[in-house]
Amino acid sequence: MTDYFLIGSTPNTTLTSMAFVSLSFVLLLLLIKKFAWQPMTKMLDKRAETIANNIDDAERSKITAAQLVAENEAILKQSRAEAAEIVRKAKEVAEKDANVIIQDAHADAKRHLEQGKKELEIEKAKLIDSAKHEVADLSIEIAEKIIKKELDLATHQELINSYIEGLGSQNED
Amino acid sequence: MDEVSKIIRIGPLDFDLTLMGMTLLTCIIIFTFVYVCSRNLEMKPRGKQNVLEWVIDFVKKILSDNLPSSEVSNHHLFAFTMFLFVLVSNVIGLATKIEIHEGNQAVSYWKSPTADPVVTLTLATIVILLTNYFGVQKFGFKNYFKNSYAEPAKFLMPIKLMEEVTNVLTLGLRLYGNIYAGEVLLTLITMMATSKGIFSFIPSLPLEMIWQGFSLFIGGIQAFIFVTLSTVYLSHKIEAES
Repeated sequence: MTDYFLIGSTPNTTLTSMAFVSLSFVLLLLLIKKFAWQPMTKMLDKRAETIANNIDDAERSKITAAQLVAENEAILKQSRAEAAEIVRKAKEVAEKDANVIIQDAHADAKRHLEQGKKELEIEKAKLIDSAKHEVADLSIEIAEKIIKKELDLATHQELINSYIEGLGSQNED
Repeated sequence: MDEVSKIIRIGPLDFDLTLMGMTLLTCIIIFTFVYVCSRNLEMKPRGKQNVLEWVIDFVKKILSDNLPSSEVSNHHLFAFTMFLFVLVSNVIGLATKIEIHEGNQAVSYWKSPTADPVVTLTLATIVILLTNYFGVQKFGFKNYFKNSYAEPAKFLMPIKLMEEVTNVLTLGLRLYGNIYAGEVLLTLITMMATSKGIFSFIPSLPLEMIWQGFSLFIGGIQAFIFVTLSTVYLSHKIEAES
């Protein structure tokens, strides 16, 4: 055991062992590099890249989504405003129309009333006219009968008419 | 206790067959593990790939704790290989014990490579040489020398130069001491188990299990310490102090 503590006291195998260990270590390193390390690091790099890309994509998607939401909200707001505007306009038009219709109706009614009144007046005038004639005829007949005297219809018609007119104006007063 | 390795002589050179065999076995185990785990790599890791990635991340953590982030990937492979090599070397000797009596010697055919100071000092030498090499590579020889040995004060240079040697020794012998001590106690417990037949065999069994578990822990810790210290020494060489 004391041999081990005195380095170089076993010169028969030290150098060969050192050479063998160094060589096998270097060989192992090269083999690992060739068969495992390169594919491994390539894969790890690819994975890191993929993860970074995914994170970036997620970030971008988030921003896009936020934009879309904002856009949609704006559109919705606009649509609401437009709808309100349409309803308001429709109401206005309807109110206007209603007013026009009511006014027309009022005007119509008034017109009809006035027409009616006019016709009534005319009828009244006619009636009065015919009544005048009849009264005149009657008066003449009555006068004929009363005075038993023939009267010339044509010469006295004017006289009687003026009399009746006088009656009419007296009545009107 | 006086274990000797199987030594053969080819031409003018002697070869420590036990050590070489165990080192080779360590390399085969590591390569098999890494190779199998790195087949069919997927973006979404599953099963064995997770294990490999965990080890890689573990080593990366050690590196990034001590080195600037731009340097981590340059030394990642080296630290990864070193970590696995030391780890497997530390624990491989716990698995079993093969001893064959040849003449009056008990020749051991199974041991941790890191229970041999030659191996640990070789690894430590590789590390220290590489740290100096990376320092020269990064700063050029003049600036490397200034940064490594003339800072913060010139009169510390002899100490700094000597430190390179002591770093090799401490780095190597710490690992060797821990693993060797573990193996010695394992051997002692084994000797106790076989000394009195069934009466000593049964109580030795839990003792051996406990010590194997502890040695497993020690092996992991030492592998971690070895890589951490290597990284620290490296950072001294490739980081400008001013």
